[in-house]
Amino acid sequence: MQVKLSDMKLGETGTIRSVKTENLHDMRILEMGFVQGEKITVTGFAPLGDPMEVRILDYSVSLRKSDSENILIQTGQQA
Amino acid sequence: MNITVALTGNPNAGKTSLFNMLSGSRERVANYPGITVEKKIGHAQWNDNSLSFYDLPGTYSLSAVSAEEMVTSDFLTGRTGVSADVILFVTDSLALSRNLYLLTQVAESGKAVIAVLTKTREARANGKQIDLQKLSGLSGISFIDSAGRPPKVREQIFTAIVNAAKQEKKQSSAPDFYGKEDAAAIAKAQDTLQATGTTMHPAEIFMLLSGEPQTKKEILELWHNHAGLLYPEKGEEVLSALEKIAAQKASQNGYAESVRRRYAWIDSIVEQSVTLDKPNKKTLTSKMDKILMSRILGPVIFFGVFTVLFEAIYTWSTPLMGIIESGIALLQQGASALLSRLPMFHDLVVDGIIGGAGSVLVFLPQIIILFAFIAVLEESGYLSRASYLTDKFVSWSGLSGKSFVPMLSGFACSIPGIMAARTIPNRTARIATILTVPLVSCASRLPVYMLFISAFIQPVYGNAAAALTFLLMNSLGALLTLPVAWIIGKKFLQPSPTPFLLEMPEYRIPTLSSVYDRMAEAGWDFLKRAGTIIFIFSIIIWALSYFPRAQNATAAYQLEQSYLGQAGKFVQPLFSPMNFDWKTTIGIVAAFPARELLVSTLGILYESEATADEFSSLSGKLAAEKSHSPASAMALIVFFALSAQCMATLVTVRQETGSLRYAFALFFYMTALAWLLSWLTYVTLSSAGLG
Ligand SMILES: Nc1nc2c(ncn2[C@@H]2O[C@H](COP(=O)(O)OP(=O)(O)OP(=O)(O)O)[C@@H](O)[C@H]2O)c(=O)[nH]1
Ligand SMILES: [Mg+2]
Repeated sequence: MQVKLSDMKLGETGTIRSVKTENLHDMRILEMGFVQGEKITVTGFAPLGDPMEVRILDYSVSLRKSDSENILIQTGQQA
Repeated sequence: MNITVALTGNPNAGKTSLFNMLSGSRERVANYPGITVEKKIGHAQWNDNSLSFYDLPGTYSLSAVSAEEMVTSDFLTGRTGVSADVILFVTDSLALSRNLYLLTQVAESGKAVIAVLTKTREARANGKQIDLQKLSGLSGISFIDSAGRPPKVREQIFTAIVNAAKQEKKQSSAPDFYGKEDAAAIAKAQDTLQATGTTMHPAEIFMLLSGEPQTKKEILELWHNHAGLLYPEKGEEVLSALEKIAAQKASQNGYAESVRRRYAWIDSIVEQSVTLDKPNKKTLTSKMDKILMSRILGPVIFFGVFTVLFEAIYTWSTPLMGIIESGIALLQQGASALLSRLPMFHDLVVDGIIGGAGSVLVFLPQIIILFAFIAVLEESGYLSRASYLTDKFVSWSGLSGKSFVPMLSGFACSIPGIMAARTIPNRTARIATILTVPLVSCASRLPVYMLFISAFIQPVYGNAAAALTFLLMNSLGALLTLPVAWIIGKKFLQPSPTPFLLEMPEYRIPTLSSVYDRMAEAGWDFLKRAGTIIFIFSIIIWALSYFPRAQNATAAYQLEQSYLGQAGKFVQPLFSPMNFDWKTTIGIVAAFPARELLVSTLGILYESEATADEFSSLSGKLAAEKSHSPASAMALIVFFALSAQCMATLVTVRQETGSLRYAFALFFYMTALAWLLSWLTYVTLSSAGLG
């Protein structure tokens, strides 16, 4: 199943399908390891549900919903 | 041989820690990405070689997204004029793959590269074993472990640096991540750039060549300021070369594909050289975050931490201040007895120097306690969590969680706070942060709060009320930062979405020595300040209160007719709505260079009036004279909490924004806001019967 990273639940794991690459900030997200095929796990949500914290490539990073909406994740079987 | 070594790596990788160890420097280290914001230089001698180390701001990629990251790209490409002979790549083993990404770019720079692996012990504790031999063999770059006895590690690293510098440059063993056609386009663009006398890293060029229109536009915007700074004479030429490159057609593969290739290469290396004991082991950090970052407990703990912090500063410092106060009174008595034959000299030393600069010294304990807390917060790794917890609450104002650290630093001093704003990539948010950090109550305001609270609030309303007032005054400016930032961003600058992307480092127990260093440094700075600026201004202020001499006048009359008294009376009408007397208004005027001068000025004024045998504390004198009602005392504290009384801050704002306009704007809006809220406080409290 393919979902937006922003729609994933706490503790869920998946594989990155695609990332938006429209501006410099998008490029930075990409360069920090959000590339196709990497495994990603949702590890937390801030009090108001945004930003969220994820674990990728063995480190933790937080990002806003406006960014996580643009990241598509493959969940389900493989996870 | 002279060897220039550049330390590069991801933010928070441990570059400054290593830099300090190698060069014996004492630059600031903290467990938060983005502490170093400008390059620092250190030196070491090894056999016959003198090594110069450059500590650079951390970055995730050489394609910079902010001004501070540009510093690193500039240095590695040699655009700044200084060129590194050897690059010391600092690799955080806790986030190995992401660190290696930058290494793949650094390896393309054509310089000799040595990699140092940090935090290997922590990695092992998390169940991660890194095989150095395999990692070096597969990547073609030799890795050194930084764990071990410092002299030995130093020797190992120095030897490697010297060997690398002596060797002939050899071709990088990293594969080509661009593809033939793109590599050719990059080389061609590089020629265009070199014709104008500049150069860029292949990754920088490739992003400019292959990015989407918006990406290209943003890179050019970043360069717009930068080219002028870097090349005052040929900035325009460089910019037009960049524009020409950006105008070229999209490439064969695109930047995203090059990123994917780099990570594919890294994944294959990491797979072979790293073993995990228990793949899904819960680390201590993730267990702690379950509590500290939980949606309900997280904010509760957050407010708890900061309330305890300011309560503790107030309650712990009070007894220590008492000790210093009695010491100073003793000193005054001694000096007074010694100099009784030389009236003018007696007054200069007893009233001007000890009464002025001495009355500021009393506040040393609070400064040291504040910095102890800040050191613990910085080293623990909690700051990233605090940014994360606050992000959504501040986003309406146009700021992001990234403004949290500049604001928190502002509690110590606005200047490092303003400089920390360099890590904010968005210009509007950065300027709004720079212009609001000075509202946050810095350590220099503490003396003013303490003095007036202990003179007028504590004796009447007790300890609890005094501590509460103290907490309130410390938060007032911070609470105003968001609405003010909102107004600045919306009305005066161009609003644009603020990105927020922040790494969460592992928790770490602060070492005693790191806390001690921070306390000692802050304490020493404060003493130096008291011994220089405050000392000099105290003497000037004393002289203005001593001259002209009135014949056979009472002390009070002498003061009133002195130059200082005249000045105080001149501005007094401005502050009469708050019922400040002329002595207070003298203090306000005198404190524009630096806030603490209010305390030293009052110290001088009340000292000159005192008869020789009363050496009581300044707060005692103020209380005895009943110079302020509770309402006007509060109004005065509010004025000092918010006004722009610090020359050094204004100078820093000018430097960091590159424009005098912002420094003026800051001065006028803060002073106006301070007056307005001071007046409101007075009116409200007087009508409540505290007048
Ligand atoms: N356990 C352990 N901690 C380390 C090591 N090296 C650095 N640290 C810690 O890592 C954190 C970051 O260290 P810094 O030296 O400030 O890192 P930096 O790379 O200069 O960071 P920026 O200036 O923010 O880019 C601090 O909390 C250090 O105490 C190491 O080898 N082992
Ligand atoms: Mg650093």
